Amino acid sequence: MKVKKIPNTNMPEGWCNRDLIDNKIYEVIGIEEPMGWYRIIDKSGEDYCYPPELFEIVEE
Amino acid sequence: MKWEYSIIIMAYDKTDKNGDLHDGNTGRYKSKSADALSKELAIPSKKEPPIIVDTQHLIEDEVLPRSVGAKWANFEIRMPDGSKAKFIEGAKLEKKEIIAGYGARRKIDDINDLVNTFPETKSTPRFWAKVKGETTIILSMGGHLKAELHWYEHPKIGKYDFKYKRRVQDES
Repeated sequence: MKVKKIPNTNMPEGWCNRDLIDNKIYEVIGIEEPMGWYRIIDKSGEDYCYPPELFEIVEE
Repeated sequence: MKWEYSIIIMAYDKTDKNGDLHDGNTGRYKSKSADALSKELAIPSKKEPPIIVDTQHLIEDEVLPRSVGAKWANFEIRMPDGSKAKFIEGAKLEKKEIIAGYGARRKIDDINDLVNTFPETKSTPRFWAKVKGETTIILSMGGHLKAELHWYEHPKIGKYDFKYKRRVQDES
């Protein structure tokens, strides 16, 4: 699944700004249950979990 | 009543390009400026002592201190939902491993962000290490969770930016 980072999503200030890039398309490499977090390779080059509210799905 | 006016012109002393001080009114040489003198008399500063990095301490298990107000109580762990988790005082930080940077083959991808955040590491960026470990954390909504965490370390800075990686099975 591919998702796009929604700009200015309602997250605590400074939390995701340095990890994710607005409007960038990311590949979801896994879904972390039970919270449903997306596992995504971020700017650090490592995969971490992020809440789905930060993204819009662009490809199932 | 007769008023008398007098105008006082004050001219400030000036420093030339060699650091010599000249009288503001006459332009005559007076002395070396304080800045020039201090530069001439300054004892060359000693070089900073070399940084000795012991990679062993990065991978040794750590028992978090129990004392209230210790640095561990101030560390926060970034959780995926944006909340901040805390360390449990007296808990063990174990299964530590250097995953990138100093002591590992892999480079730290966001090294530039780290150096920009901590300019004092600009001369020693190679000493940044990305480390992982496991411990039990307290969630902001309450409850405990055993988790794998990732963070950065530098001998001048210490530990920085704890981030939740994944939940791990609690064997205890």
